[in-house]
Amino acid sequence: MASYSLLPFNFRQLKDDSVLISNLSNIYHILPNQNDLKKLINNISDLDPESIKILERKLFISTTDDFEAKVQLTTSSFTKNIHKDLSSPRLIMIVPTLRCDHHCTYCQVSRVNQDVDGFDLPLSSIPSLIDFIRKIESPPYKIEFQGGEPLLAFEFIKEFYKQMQEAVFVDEFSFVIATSLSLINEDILMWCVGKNINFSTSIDAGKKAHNRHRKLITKDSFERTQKNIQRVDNKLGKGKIGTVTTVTHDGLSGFDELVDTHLALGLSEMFVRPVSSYGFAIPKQAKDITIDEFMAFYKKLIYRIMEENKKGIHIIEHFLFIHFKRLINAKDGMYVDLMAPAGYAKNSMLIDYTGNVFGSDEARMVYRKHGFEDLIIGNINEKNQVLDTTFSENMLVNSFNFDVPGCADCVYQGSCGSDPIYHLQEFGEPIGNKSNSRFCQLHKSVFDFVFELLKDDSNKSVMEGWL
Amino acid sequence: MEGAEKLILHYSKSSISELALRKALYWITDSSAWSLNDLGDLWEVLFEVDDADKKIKYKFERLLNDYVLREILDRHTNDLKQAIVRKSLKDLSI
Repeated sequence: MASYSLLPFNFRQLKDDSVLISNLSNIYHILPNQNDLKKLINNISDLDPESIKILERKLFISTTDDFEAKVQLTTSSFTKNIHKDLSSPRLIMIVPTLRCDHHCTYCQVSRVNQDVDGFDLPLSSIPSLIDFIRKIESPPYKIEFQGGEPLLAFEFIKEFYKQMQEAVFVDEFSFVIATSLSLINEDILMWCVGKNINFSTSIDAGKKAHNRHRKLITKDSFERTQKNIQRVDNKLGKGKIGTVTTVTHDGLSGFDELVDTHLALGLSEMFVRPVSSYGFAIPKQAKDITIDEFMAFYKKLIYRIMEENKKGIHIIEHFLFIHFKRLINAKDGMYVDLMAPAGYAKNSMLIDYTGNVFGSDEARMVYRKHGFEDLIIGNINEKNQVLDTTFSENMLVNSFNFDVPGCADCVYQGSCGSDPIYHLQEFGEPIGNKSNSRFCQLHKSVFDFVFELLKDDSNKSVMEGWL
Repeated sequence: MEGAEKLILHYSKSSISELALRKALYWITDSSAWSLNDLGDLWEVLFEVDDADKKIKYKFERLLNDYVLREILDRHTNDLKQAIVRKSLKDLSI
């Protein structure tokens, strides 16, 4: 019988006592029980021949003869996966105003009232802004307007588009406007016709939760959002709107209502995540729900979505989908939170209403709350627009999760990220203690859930159909 | 901790390393206060647990068991792992 050697791998026991293993190629395999794990580690030849064959093919073990080749294959896949995270395109976010007509309980940026002066990027900064974007990124430029409520600065967006069109080819850039849609009107919609502009809007889990947390003076944010989604659809056609759902304690029973709302509006894509603790959301909502409570909600939501898809209704939940894509090494499985080295600064950059440049949206939230000056990478209005990346480089160096305590022996190491900005906020340093990190608990729970779903081939078909 | 009970566990140094104990204890931080004491041939692990939390011993020993297995695995593969990581980073010129 051939003699086998182990190649490096990590493992994690799942709830049904099976054991998930993964290697540096980010290939996963499930062993039926702890006993097989012990056999694999202590004496490979005690495993059944079929298991040995599979483990060999998946680069967990090797015979002496092809040890060299398997090590080379592993090295090459490991390099390729890091390269993918290093080289994916950068999202440029612009905050044209911090003013907002909503007053959300979980607002992370401490928005200001819509009639306040001094919280807008002036039109005069647009040439510097475009110069800066062209300096740090190559086309196609993906630009997202964040707020506040960006539609309160619609003149800025219009002028920016005009000047961008003069600076680069029109098919070299696209916009996403992150908006509540409450201020959308005929003029804005007319202007958007024929342009590469999409909207990202919020629909929380159920009308009650939405109106309680997304506060408008008229107390009808949910109704307005629904009405305005239909207006956008009617004017610009379907597929122009993506939704983001922030799950709070009040929304924990709203999983069916959330799906029903999307289906009624003809929306086929959603992104659902728990309320976050970034920036100013901390005292208000951060510990509003535990990750266990979120996961109980989320599983019911996803099982409902699976059922809809099995009935032939195409609806995707992107938070789950991105975790699935990270597990299977999909080409477009890029998500800033789940990158190692981290996506901070290298895959996202944000310019706020003062012209300050940050490495991510979350970094500006942490800066607004804690005033941590090192998070400002530069300012677009400064001569030569020199970026100080010393701090960012240090953050990135500490974000290779094969080297991070708590991540180094995690089975999800090759699919997950280590999010230095989250841990900087929660623990005062970029690594943190993963044993009480909500980030760690959340993503591990979602990855576990993906494997729970994959046990059923019909769920697997649905997720593969989303690719 | 008010109403807390002390749970004391002993492990022979010849069978359990300090590193395995510390790595397992790392994941207990959120559930319980703990201390690790050197008693010569033995390690003493002391938990302060709430009356309701009887599962801490099970959770800790399961973690510890995993870290003991990881130590065996590391003895076989750690040098290779480091070599693969070094080679990859070199290829990427990081």
